[in-house]
Amino acid sequence: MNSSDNPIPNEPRATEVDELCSLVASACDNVLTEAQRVRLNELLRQGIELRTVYLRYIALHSSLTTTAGGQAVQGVELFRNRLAILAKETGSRLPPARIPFSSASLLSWAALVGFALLPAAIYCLGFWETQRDNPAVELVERNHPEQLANRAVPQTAQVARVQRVSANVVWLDPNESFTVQSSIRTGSKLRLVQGEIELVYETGVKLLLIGPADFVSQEWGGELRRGGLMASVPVAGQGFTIETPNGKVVDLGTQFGVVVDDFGVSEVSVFAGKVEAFPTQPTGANQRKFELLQGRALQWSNEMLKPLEADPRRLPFSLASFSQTGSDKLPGETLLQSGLRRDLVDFNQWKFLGDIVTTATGFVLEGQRGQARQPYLVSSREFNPTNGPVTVVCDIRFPQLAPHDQPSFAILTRSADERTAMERPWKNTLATCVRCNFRTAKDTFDGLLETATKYERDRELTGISWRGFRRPEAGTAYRLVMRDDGVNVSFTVSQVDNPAVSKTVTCRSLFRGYQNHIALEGWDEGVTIVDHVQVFQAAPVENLASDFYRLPVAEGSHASATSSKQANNLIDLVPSSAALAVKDHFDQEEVDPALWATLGDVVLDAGAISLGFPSKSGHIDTFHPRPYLLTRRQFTPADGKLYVLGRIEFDENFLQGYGGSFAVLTRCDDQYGVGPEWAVSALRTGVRSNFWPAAPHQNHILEIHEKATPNSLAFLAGTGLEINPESRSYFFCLEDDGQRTALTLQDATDRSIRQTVQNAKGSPALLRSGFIGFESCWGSRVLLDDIEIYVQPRSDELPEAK
Amino acid sequence: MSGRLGLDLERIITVIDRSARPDEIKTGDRVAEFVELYSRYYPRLQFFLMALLPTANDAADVLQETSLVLWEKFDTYQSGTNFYAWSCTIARLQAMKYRDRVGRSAKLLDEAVLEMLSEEALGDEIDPTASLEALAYCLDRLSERNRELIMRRYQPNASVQELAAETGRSANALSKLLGKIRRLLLECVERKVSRQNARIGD
Repeated sequence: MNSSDNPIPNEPRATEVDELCSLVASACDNVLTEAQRVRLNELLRQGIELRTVYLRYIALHSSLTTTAGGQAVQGVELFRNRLAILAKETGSRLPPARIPFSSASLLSWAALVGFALLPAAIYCLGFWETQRDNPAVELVERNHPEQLANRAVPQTAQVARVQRVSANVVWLDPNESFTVQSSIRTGSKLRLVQGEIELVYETGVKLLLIGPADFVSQEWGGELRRGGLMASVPVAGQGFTIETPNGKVVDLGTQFGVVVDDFGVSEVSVFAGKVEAFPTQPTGANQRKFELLQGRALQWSNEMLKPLEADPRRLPFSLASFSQTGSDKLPGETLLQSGLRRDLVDFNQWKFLGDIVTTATGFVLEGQRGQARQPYLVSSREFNPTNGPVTVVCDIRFPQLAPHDQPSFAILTRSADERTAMERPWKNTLATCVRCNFRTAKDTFDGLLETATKYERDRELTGISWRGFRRPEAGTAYRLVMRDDGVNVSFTVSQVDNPAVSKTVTCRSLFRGYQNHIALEGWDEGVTIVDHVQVFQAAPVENLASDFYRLPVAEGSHASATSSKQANNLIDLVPSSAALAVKDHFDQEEVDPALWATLGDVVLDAGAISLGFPSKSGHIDTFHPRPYLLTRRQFTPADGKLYVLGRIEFDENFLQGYGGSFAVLTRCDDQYGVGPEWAVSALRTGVRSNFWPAAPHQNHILEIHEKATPNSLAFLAGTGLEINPESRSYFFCLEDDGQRTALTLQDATDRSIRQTVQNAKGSPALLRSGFIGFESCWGSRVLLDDIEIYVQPRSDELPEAK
Repeated sequence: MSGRLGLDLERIITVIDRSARPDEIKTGDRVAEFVELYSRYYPRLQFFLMALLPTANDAADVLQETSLVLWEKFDTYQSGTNFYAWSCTIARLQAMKYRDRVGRSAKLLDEAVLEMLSEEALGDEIDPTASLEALAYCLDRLSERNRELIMRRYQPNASVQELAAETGRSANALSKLLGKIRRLLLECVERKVSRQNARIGD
């Protein structure tokens, strides 16, 4: 880091920021007085900090203006249509409609905001309860399967046959059921409440649909709107595609599972071979492609993207026991039991958050009126439901209720054992959890059953709620049963004295808990008495979809260029006395945070680092922030010569347009800069050794720059390299002794293609130390793997005195 | 102002249609390039002009004029160079011309301030297109009343004065309320974006 180049700006005072925002609001709304105008200009003259606040405010004002009207969509479409005619006449091609301002992106944005759709969705769904009266719970209104199900789907050719129907299958609509050997056509709707159905496609693809599920078959695969499926795809079926409400999965010869939950989350797991996943980008950004190899999984929603290990336990295909009520038929072993008598409570098994006392009849959870602080009983140990379905049973009652009280009680699984503890409306709930809640609906006499997930500490619950049950009554004992198998959740509330008064709701949540405690959440405004707390965990479900199909996978069918481990011959450049400082083959589940930091679009992808995201387009934007992988550690090459080795693979578009590039930076900063031209997208400072195969000037294919300050850029050296356009894999070795820098590139498939660029005179050496960075440019991904960093101690270094 | 985009494009189409002489017609590829660049940078160009002319109608008018000039001068634009910087140069000139011929609202900012802002708005640090997703998320989390109000404020051709009359407030009081809603949104958007960045950086 070069702090001298980055004087800390004067932070504007909060009062000035408030005053400025108030004045800008008046200006935007055209109600600014002359005196205010003068003051606004005074503030804007004060310094760049306040002008930046002004620009941020205007950016929001502009975004609100852009998105408020739908006429922009029509305008762009009109313009494109007219130009399409012109282009046809001139024999040219219009660009694909993937630009951020395309109609599709605006429409999806509109759907995301949901202003127009929300009332209609609620009306259509009927049984959904709007949760406006509970600010801590967000209503999920987008991409719900019921909305999608209303789309008209024409039926045409046969695409598959039903091979098998499980004995426990229950169809959502018996009139739309299928029997063994019946035809499945384009547009057939398969909606299961429970059970499984197996299809065999004309191409030989086998598909196991796991209920509850909602699936529409297509010639190319199908649309999974809710539920789970397992597909096994022979060579003839490659390209088999499963669409989910927020993306799609394309098979490349494999065995994979897809699950769509009820909260807008999709997950694909690869058990053999390779698939490509395309999570939808909600605001029109380029759709990203992720290649997943065997053992990998990807989970995504509109707000997150999470690479994971594939876990077949998340696709159990026997769900017959789903939605069981009562405790007498529950499978498995009782692991924890408390209640009834004070002397039986094992305080090692539970911890209390808030006011909880034990009495002769059970636990008393006391919420203090006006404090909005729920009491929690939290299990000391964790129960991971993926290891076996977890069932929590308890009896509760509210001894005293005033007419306007709105009591609630919840069971939590996959839960953290501490509160959110942030100044938010949901500060009182536990940090992360899956939560089943029984409460009173505001303004009505109904009771509500809610299922929700809290994904992160700093965000609210995302949930669904159902009516159809009486509100909680004073003194009435209710039995609550929550069952969670890691994906499927069921929640039953019944009256203890009249078990016929019972309601069960189910949902799927793909949230993988960071912790897996169980918790009981009391009412924050009064007393809840809890009895007969029982926790069960059954043995893992053995019928796993991944075991159902055992297809031989063609050898090498999922070998990628980066996974073929050839040796990097450039290791010969490293003297034997050099010490290995960093080595990473990126085979872990996550980027090692102890070794690496990242800037921009950098993710782990199939055992390599993906610098940027794939793009078929030739549009490569050098002004967009570049992706960087950076060492956590700083190095001073003058004190020990650096050798940085690794392997890269360019994407297919690396010679299109401006062309892709890959650079190794030494002595660099770890923040984006503000330098001239393209340097706005690059790091503030550093020595940058760059490989730019599409460079228009032959002697710039390999080049070295020094960016000693954010506003300067010195060209130190450049040379050419005759590349093979078919070859996208290279080994590299970067050497830096603090004066001279050399970058050697070698084609991984034709080792005779090799070149070195180095600065003959040495750099001005303004930069002495810094991080080591790896860079590509936006729009053309580079896969980076097998990094090794060596440090050669100076020969004149004195031995350490002891 | 979003409603004006349709007008901009229609006027450009008229210009294209009137290009009767074959030698004046831009080639299809060039047209396609213009469409892509103009569509991609439209939100940023709008932001740039709003920074100079924060009163929405002023910026909308200049954006219309600028769009036409951009199309007419597109032959001088060199492919592969920074379209945003090129178009902002033209937009800035159009904004200055507009100041000279229009009244008080267009002269809201002093010339020196305008100069500084036009430099600083060119940077990549503030890009309204980068936070649209976060804005959608944050709008979704406003109270129903606030969301309805802010949406009505930004409908095409909406006027704060008329909206104030409809909602039984003074224009100043309404502007203050809108200001508070924007501050809520601004903080939410920035929090969301920084969280996304942190997540990517994990």
